[in-house]
Amino acid sequence: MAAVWIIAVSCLIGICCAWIGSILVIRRMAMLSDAVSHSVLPGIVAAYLLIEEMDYGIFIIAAAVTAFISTMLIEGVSKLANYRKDVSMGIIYTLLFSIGIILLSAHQDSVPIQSDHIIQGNLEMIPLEELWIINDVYSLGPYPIWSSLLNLVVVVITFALAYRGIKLISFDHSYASVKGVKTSRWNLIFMALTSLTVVISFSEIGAILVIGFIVIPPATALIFSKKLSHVLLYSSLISCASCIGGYFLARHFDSSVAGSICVVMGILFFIVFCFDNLRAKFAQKNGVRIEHKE
Amino acid sequence: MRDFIEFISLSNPTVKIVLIGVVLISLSSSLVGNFAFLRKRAMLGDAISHSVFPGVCLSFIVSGEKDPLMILIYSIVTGLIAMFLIDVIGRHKKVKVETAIGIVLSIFFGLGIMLISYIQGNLGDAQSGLQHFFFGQAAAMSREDVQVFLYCSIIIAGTIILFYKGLKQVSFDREHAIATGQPVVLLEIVLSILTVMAIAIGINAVGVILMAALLITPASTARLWTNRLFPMMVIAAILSVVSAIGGAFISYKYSGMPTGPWVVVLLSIMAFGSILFSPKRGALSRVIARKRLERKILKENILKTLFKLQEADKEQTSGFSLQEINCLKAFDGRALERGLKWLQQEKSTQIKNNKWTLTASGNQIGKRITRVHRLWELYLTNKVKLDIDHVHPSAESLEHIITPEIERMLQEELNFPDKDPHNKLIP
Repeated sequence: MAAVWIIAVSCLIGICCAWIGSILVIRRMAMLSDAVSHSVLPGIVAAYLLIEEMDYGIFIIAAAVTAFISTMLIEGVSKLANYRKDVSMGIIYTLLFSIGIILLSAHQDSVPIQSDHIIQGNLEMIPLEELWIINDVYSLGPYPIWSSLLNLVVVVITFALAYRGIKLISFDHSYASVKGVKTSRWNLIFMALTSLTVVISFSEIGAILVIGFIVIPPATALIFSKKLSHVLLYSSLISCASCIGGYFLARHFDSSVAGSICVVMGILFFIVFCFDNLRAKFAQKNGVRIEHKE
Repeated sequence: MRDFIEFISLSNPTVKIVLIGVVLISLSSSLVGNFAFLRKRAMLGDAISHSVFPGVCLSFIVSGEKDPLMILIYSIVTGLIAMFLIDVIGRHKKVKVETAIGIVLSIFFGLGIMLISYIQGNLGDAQSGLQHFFFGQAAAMSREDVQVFLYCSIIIAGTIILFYKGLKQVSFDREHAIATGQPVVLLEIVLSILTVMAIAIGINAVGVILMAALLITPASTARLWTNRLFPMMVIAAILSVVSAIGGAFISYKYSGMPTGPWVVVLLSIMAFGSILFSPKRGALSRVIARKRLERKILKENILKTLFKLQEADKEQTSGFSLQEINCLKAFDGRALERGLKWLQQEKSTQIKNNKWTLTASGNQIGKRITRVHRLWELYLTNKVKLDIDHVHPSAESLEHIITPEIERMLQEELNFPDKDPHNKLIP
């Protein structure tokens, strides 16, 4: 049963991240997930210090607020100082993460947040977590499965309602605004969706491996598919396959599940990548013209 | 204060080791950080610092102990592999460089997480202390560690001095460096090795996650103060040493406080200070400069309008009311009144019975702006062949920018004309 819970939660998270990631990767904003996932820490610690209890809902709100603040700060700093985006990202997320660590060490004894889990995730712990039990009888399974399911539902509904808008802003931003699509509104909604996904995922798979979940499956799918709907489908499949593969790899080596999933995602990426390169070489030899980058 | 003197005098041998270690680390990463920043590779440092982590774990699995030299060698090798992979993946036509960075970062870190949980499960982590590499543990530095840091810093500083000229050219203008026959590929490899080396020692103090700050924050802050590489390197070095000492002191004074995050926080405070207050590129000075320009434009527009009013009605000597000025050119809100007050203080305008007139000096400026405006309109119609009704907006903005030199050149180019395209006199 434990295996089922772990695989189910990781697949749910994997699909959410893959969908969000497809848009981020297409829009060249992949590293934004990195910045957001790191800057969530001070929000969670501060929320705990303020309300002094573990409340999942408030954590998610606090984390989403810090994630939002950090994206605003990144924007602001790169405007104020004329920095490239990546420079201001580097400055802001390291600062926020430091503040988080400092808060955590100042209240080491009172805050039950383990810094290891922030890094490594704790997918393994899911079956041991409290179960959601109704009327003392019906067990609905561990909490994370519900939070990640809810996240998936929100993501899917938003995509279903706004598919055209999201597609337009990700492939051709200026065309979208010319067509009268309210780009700033879609951008904001999409940023909120990203923050939500990162926040819900990061407590299970760790702040850094979120980046892998967000970037690798879409990047793999983008190598061999052109339509957005295909990218979404294939990246979800790749994600789920890696989750299942990663779980058994972790069992075999007795190691971290989240880490192993990322490694399997990486292996799948490299298989596709090498295959595509070979195909391109082969096609070149046969005299077929191939479009070159830039 | 006494605490600080006691701390800085290095009387305590443990403090001495930690302080020297942190300073060496910050110094060497800020040195290579300048080049990473200038070569627009800010996030690459982040990726490499996450990628050296499996190297750290691997060295522990292979040698079974925490040997600083082994850790260094293994992490440099994995860091270089990661850098190579980012380069290879980023060249693929369907994968962008940012994506490649994200991919390699998470695969390597995932591998590191796998290895560390394997070590914890099978080899016993009591003596490994590998968790320190997540957040850094400056207090746990040993004498041997600091010796390794010292050698690395000497190698980094020495190589930079040796190849200074070439590295500078490669960082500022790669094409130019190729054209002047610099061994660009070799220099880039050297720079990569130095960067990986600085990161590999740096993660001891601040950990893999905060390492990006040690590389990027000092360099990007220093860039706000200077346009030249050498002063930039000196400023970055000073900033990083100051924050290293500060961070080490805070963790010495308040037990339980981590060194690395405090170094990063101090660095960021200095960065924000510079972003706001640096004289050349700071936000504040830019705001002041913009306000000054807005003020100048407003004043010049008022003087020009008064001049044109006077020109249209030469008999009128008593001056013009606010309404009359606003009729010819609409100013927004209270801007007109404010501008007239400033001009009055500068003795360019004067007021009598609520009517404004130009003084001699104000008249001269107004005349000059009108002249430049009309000259530019004429230039656009005669030389650029624009329609008459298209030239006004351009002249409206350029009249504030054209210098006396350009004005003279325009006059020469147009053979000292006396009429503008709207048949008005050029004063």
